[in-house]
Amino acid sequence: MNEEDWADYFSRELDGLISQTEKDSTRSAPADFHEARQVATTLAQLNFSAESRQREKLRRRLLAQAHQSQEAQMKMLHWRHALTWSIIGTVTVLMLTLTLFYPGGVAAAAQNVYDALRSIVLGDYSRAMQTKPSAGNDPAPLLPDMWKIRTEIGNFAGNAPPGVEPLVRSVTTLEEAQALVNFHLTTPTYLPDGYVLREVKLAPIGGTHWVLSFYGGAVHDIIIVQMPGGPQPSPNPNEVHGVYDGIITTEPIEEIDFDGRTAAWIDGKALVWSVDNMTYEVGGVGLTPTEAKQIARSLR
Amino acid sequence: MDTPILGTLTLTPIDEETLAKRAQADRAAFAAVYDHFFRRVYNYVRYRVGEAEAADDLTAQIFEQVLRHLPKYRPHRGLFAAWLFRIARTAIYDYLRQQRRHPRLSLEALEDQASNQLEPDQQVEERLHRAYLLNVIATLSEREQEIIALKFGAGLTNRQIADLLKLSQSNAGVILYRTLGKLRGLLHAEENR
Repeated sequence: MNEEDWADYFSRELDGLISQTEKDSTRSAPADFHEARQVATTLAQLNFSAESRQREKLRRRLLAQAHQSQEAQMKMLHWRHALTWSIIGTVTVLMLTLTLFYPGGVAAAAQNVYDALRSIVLGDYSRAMQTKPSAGNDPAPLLPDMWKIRTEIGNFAGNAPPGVEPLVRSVTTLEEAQALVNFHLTTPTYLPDGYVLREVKLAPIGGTHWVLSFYGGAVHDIIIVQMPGGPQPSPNPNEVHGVYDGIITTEPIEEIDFDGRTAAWIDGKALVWSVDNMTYEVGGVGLTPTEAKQIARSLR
Repeated sequence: MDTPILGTLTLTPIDEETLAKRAQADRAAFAAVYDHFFRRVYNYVRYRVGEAEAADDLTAQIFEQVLRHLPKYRPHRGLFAAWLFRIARTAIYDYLRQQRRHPRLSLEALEDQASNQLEPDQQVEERLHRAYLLNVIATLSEREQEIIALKFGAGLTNRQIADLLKLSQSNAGVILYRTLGKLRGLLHAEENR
């Protein structure tokens, strides 16, 4: 073997050497190899970090900075958020069981994040919450890998599953959108005069999509949203993905009856309800609860 | 309520990417990132700048930058460790450039410093041994010092080192191998003086 071969062999051995799991099995190697190995062994055992005089002080300072940054992140206003979870591998069987059979636990955990003034339970994986007003009207960005959609009825945000880019797709027909999702997209058979579909946005979340359909009118849009919640199909049998959605607003929310179901009237412009782990939202600037319900009843 | 957990709740065995994602979702989780990487960052810095005081200052600067830029980290663009040590490397480069040369304490100064610590003899000896090694490493070329620091301080793989230094993986391996041989020669020479 030449020097390059020995270097290659040495490199393959080195990580084991550093982790002190590799035994010397290279008695036939040249002297250079053994010398390099000897020095590597010495260096692998070196640790200067005990000499640091700032370690704990720096830790406290960084955590204080992190806390301040977190508070800034929490300044938000009427956002529809998703909390997604992924359960991977057999070691998490307990969590998997808890999540699948006691979904309220996940929802409750998420709800406890906020200091809610009022909370309306829409479904196992869906809540609407009114929180205390915070300074500033423009919500601070949440997570770097979250997609965000701003609309006239509020903002939507969520994160894509691992390995998926947080990109929002836009198509112009429901047929195109239907081809991209794993659930039935509903169509309104009633809309006020003058409203036609102009755009459908699809945002990836927890192995599925949230779908926002924008029906354009003379001035404002009517927006119909479908937000699947709960456990979602996964391409990997050892993984379970799921979505919990929460509507968080500083504006008043009102619990109303929608044909025998609990629904929420949000910010004076959107009706939200949940059926079989699918949360629906029908909203628009100037829309009344009666009109919103009429559109909602017409969804097929 | 000041501990939000909105975001991805990934229940997987702890790995560096998971630590980073948790810290992105909940800044309070940055403590775990700090605890996991402190030793590697500090050791990497010590290899490059020698002095303990400067290493403390630079380590603080590096972690502050990591915390500040954490929202910009994108897992699909590379491993978190590589991203973190790219920040560390830039901070060290800027520091060394400001110094214009690479001042290190003399071995005598390090001996004085070590003997003033009121430590047990064995600890003093170990500290002197580390200082001695650092001084010998300081005589290597910039690139050789860097590769030693990335390998034995930062604990990076040859592939990660190759990416950072813009080398092929095999080239990084050969340089490391030769550098260790050269270092062995320098240590021999020092011992025989």
